[in-house]
Amino acid sequence: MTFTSIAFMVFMPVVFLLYWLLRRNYRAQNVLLVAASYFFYGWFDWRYMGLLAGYTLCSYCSGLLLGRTRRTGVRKAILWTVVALNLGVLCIYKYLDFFTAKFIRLAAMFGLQPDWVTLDLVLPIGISFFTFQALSYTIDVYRGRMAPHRGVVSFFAFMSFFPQMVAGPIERADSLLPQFCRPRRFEYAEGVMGLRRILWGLFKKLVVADNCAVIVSSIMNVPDIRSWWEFPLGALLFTFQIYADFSGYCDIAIGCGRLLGIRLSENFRLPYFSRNIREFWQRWHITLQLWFRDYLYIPLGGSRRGLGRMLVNIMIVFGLSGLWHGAATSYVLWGLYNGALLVVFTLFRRWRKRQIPEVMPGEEAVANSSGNRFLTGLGIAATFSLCVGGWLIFRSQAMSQLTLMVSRTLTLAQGEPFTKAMGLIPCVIGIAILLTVEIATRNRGYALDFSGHGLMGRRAVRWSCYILLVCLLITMRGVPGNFIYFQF
Amino acid sequence: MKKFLHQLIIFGIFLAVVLTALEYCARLSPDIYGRKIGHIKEHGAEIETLFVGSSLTAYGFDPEYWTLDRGYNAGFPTICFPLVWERLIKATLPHTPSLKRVVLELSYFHLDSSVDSIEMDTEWLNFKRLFFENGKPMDMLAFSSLSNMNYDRFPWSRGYMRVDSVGHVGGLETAKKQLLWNDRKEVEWTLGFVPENREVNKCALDRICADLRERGIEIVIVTTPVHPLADQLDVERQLSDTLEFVREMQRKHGVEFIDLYRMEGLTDDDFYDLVHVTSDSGARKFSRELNRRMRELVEMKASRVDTPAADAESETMSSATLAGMSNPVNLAS
Repeated sequence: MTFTSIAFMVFMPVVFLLYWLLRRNYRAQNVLLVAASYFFYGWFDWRYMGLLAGYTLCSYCSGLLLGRTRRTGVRKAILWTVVALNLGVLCIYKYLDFFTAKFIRLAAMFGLQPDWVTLDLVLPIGISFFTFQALSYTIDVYRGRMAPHRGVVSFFAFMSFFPQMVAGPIERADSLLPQFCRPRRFEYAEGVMGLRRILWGLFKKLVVADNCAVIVSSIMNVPDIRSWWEFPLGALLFTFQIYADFSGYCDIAIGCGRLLGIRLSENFRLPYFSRNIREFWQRWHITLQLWFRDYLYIPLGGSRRGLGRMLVNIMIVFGLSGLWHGAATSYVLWGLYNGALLVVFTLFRRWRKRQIPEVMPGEEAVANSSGNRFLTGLGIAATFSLCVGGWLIFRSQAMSQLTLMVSRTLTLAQGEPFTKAMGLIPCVIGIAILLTVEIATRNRGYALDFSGHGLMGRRAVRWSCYILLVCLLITMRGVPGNFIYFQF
Repeated sequence: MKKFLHQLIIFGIFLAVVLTALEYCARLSPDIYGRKIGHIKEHGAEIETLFVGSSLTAYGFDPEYWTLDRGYNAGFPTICFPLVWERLIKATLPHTPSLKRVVLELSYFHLDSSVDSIEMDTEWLNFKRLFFENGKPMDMLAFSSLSNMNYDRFPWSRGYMRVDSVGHVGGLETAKKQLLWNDRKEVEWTLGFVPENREVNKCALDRICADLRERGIEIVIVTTPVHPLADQLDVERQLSDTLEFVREMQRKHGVEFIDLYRMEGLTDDDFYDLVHVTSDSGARKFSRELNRRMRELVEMKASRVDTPAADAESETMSSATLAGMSNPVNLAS
């Protein structure tokens, strides 16, 4: 059941009404949420409901066990057992076939033919997301950042909350779990905000992402017959597709959460308007970046152990971040590419600081100074271009495909005539609306935030905008496809 | 909560009014289906042969080369026999009193055409399913179909149609590459065997044949040319099943059959892709050949009426035509 399906259009209002009918008893609301979440998850593949329950029970029990003992050795043993279990299951489902295939290929290079077979396992939807959420809880309890949670139902609700379970935002226990442990009140403003975010998320997904996907696929899936100029175009469209797809999902998830009185974390803050690559990673998939920062980068030493170690840590974090997205060379390469960019940026920033410390104390100064608007614009353009390059790596299905695209672009190769020109119209219109709205409301809480006075404060104008968006959803929607991040 | 639901309901009503108005406006817009049905309603009395089929007919058959009688190309860029019956033949019969013959296109994969996907290939905002599902095939809502920016996704709807959107991707070279990518298992492209769709389409086709024969209208099933490369798509099962079905229709309803699956004289330049001839040279050659074969058929029938001995000859011709229908084993060799 995806957010764009008819099934969800029925499911969500039913859950919403039942949920608020039970408003006097938040425990009953939690039971309903767990039931609805498992139903939602089982709709994709009921066989993996047990896996999700297993993850949840494992984390819940580990929290209780950690709370019962203070002996460091035992606590460490519990922690590492849980980490090994969680990551082990993730690796089996996600990486075993990938590494087995790589090993077989490597062995073949040395004339060996190992008698191994790949298992062809079906990846459970959302496994990377709920694994990380489960791990964060156990690690936080181990570190003493939060007390072990005792309520079984609320813990199950935390682990399986259907709006964010399959593709994030990756929530921390200390922000989401307490919300299930107190009565919730429906607030009109929150409900309106929820609907607005759902509408905007649907627009991003159905109009922008799905339309771009058609052109991107037609270019990237058969690169050997495409002309050189189509690859930059495809990469550019994919840049918007993946943003609209993933941030659209997050908008819908946050909107559904608000309708149920639950606040989820923001995952995007206009990432393509970042002035440098570091800022981009502070605005893109924020919850994943924070997870890696808190549970990997800082434990590895962060920036506390000298420049060299810091740069190595950055490369490790980004390499693993790429691998987290999927078992494919292109994802790892994309992670390393971004890591390398960040390393270069870090070194450049240090060099600049040494050169002109009084003029350039930090990039914030650049942005705040009106005299440096040109530099800011240049920074945004450069960062955006580097991102487009990164997405080209990310989108390529195989290394051979990537090299083919790059070589055809560099050699100005000519291919078959471009037949999708008409398909560009909805893409361009969609992207233009997306950028206009998001830039116009950049200082507000979210894209369709019409609160306040002025023209947009009038109901007639607001409703006209909503209706226009609904009309665009119907008339300009692309070929429906799943959310990209479902596969991760 | 009350205020929220109250506002939501008012907004819903307001939205419904706006969408209904837009739907009405959209229905007034021109489209290929409306144009062709409109033409048949207006000039139906002049039509003697109606050509029914998918994009293979719509862009592959040029009535300019039809010399037998007054023909009209009623092909649309997809095929689904329940819809052909409900939305085309039933809708046009009252307006075509002179209709003598229906030429039905049947390529090896047509019986596999999805019934659902033609009604609506998306779950999202499927107005028809939401409000008009009644178990019968029916037209889509115009407004919803305006999203059809590729124009060939909802051909039965009232969306606009682009003539150059022929083919599944366009370009024989692309088709060749697709086969290559198929081999690499990187991109799936196939026109596969779908038993459940076959059953539905066969029932509908059987009903079409029975009804037309009852009205004394002749039926000619025609297979359209396919590029030899299509053999790589593993079509043996589809071909033999289609052939078997055609035989059954011949036995049951006495339909005629013209096999142009392996039409000679077509080069790579005459194909858009594996299954579509180009609308210029390909259509010209195909239309001429169809015209020639139809003339032969008509002359043979005429002579059969004149001389009883011609019956045996006709039987022979029928068998010869069937034998000529692409035998997968022969094709592969």
